[in-house]
Amino acid sequence: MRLQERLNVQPERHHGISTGTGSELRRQLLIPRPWLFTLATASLVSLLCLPAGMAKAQTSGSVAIVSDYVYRGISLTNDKPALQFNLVYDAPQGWYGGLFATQMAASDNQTRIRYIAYGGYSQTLPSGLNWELGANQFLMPQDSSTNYSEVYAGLGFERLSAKIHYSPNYLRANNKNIYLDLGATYPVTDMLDAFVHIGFSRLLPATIYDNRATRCDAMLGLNLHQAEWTLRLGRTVQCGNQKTANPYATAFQAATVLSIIRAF
Amino acid sequence: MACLLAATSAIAAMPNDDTTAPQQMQQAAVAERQLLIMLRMPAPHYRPDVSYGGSYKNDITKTARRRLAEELAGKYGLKVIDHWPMPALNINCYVMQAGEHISLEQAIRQLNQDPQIEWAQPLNTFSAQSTTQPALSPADAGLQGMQLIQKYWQLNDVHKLATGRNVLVAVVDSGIDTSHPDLQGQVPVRENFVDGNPYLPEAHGTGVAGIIAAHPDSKGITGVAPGARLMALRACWQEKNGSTSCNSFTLGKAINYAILNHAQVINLSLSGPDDPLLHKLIDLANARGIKVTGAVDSKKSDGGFPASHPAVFAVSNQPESGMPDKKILIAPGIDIPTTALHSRWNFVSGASYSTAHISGMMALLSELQPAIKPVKIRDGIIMRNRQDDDVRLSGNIDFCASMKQLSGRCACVCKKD
Repeated sequence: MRLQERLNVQPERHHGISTGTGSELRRQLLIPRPWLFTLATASLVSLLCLPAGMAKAQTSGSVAIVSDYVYRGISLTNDKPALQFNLVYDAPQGWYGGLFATQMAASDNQTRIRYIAYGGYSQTLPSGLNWELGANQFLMPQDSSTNYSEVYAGLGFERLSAKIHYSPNYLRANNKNIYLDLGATYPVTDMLDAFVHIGFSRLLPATIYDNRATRCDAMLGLNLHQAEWTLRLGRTVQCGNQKTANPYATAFQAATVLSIIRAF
Repeated sequence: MACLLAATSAIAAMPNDDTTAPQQMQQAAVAERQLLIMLRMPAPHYRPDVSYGGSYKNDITKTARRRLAEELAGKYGLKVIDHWPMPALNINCYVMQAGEHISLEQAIRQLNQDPQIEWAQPLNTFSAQSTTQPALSPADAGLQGMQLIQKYWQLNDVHKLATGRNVLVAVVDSGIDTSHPDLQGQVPVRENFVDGNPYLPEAHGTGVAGIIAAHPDSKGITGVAPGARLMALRACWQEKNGSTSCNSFTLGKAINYAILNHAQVINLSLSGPDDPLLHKLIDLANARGIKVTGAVDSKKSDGGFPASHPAVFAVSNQPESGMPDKKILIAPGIDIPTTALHSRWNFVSGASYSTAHISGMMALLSELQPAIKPVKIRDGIIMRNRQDDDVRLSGNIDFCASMKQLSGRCACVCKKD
């Protein structure tokens, strides 16, 4: 199943949401927005090229095995496990860049590697409030039909966080997309914390009669930390965005995800 | 979920890197070969690997800093002893043991030139500013009559207006005896930053706590702010000779905790050398509107640290000739009855206990004016002009006038204008 279908985002030509001419459409489908691509690439380059010993800079990362790669409430591995890798470079003044890689099922149902190159700037204010701005570039070299870019802005305070992501051409389906990511954690013990995530996705343009337009997902779980290891158990649910005859109908999917993460 | 909880219990029984810190910390004060290295903790940001963790908590990067700390230790011939994240300052603090081949000062100088280190500093020692007399038994009731502060500050009247209700006061000190009849129910938060052993009640912290917030329901004493709630942050320990000591690391952990957990007043009845880590934490506390009180060490020309910090309310129990640029608050601190271990009471003396009185005053003000900034309080406190002997007993603050000036409300018997 194609990635757009899994996420219920169809290319514009299938749904008649017209925003441009055929040549403009082809250009949008084939060439990512240059400035987003540049930012993400610059982040990646800085990650790979800057000397590790640069003043007060840090490189960190993680490897993980997850029982299911659930992206915004939807399994992208057809409910199968995936290996994941993440590497982050934090520059001294608050700039950061990173590369995340995960196994996922491509349009041809073959297991492929999906990369997320990301970069941005984050800062903590004396009040304890965190803010950040950044950009993502989603890449799948063997199947570039779904590569897309996002920008995001986030706020965090103590145990709460809120991030908003905006994609000008979500999954190359010629839809704009806004995704709101709300999160909270609660420390149960020194080693155990509970977390909740709620996400709302909105395709643009869309009408209130378009049941694909709005979707939500949520995850509730526990993180168990021991030294550099984290064991995460979460229950994720998804609502909305199912193609049915009734435009107001919503479907419900749920999955339990176990992750073992090793930080380095 | 049940499996995860079971696994928690199992892992809790395993040796933990952090819980071994304490024994090493106790040695730190003795060894005098230890220093602190601060590594930058990047501001939390988006990471796809933890984006569904639901938090900006940055724990996943601690492994990278630990690796960097080990590399630095190898490079400079040090040994990593302990560490503690201080997200209030965006740093990780590492305690390291210096080798014999180099002096501590030389090692710190070298480390401060390394671009990967935020800063390095000595592990300074601090001591409480107090003396104690033999304990009184419960039979010595009537202690409230001996509390001259009730008369000097007209607390019976003031408490009709404010008791410091629900104001969080962090007592960064030795352990508080929370089972003392005057303190029962007054200490909702109890944390130990000295070692991984169970919390230990000690004399100095218990005495300071009683002056601030002893409740009036028992036969003992009444605190300046009996409605306040204390955070018992044990960062100091009682030595065999009865004195009370702390160090930069334990104090840093406790102040970091107080800031992150919304203390409105931080009581520091202690003194030592100027300390970069504590200096920055107090700067941050002040920026967040937290009132920090500190005991003056009369033996030091600058009053000692943290009293010398510009944002700290410097408190003494006697007139001070030094510190001309600083407004020194004098509060009762000679033969003050207060809570002691084993459900008893003591007469105590020292700037430590004067500081506790001012912390109580800050709690009262925080109830009446929760948003009032420390600088406004400093400017608004009205000083008395009395002879030294009188000042030694009752202090140099016109308490009632100051409360009226700062809260806009008549706290005591006020003259009609």
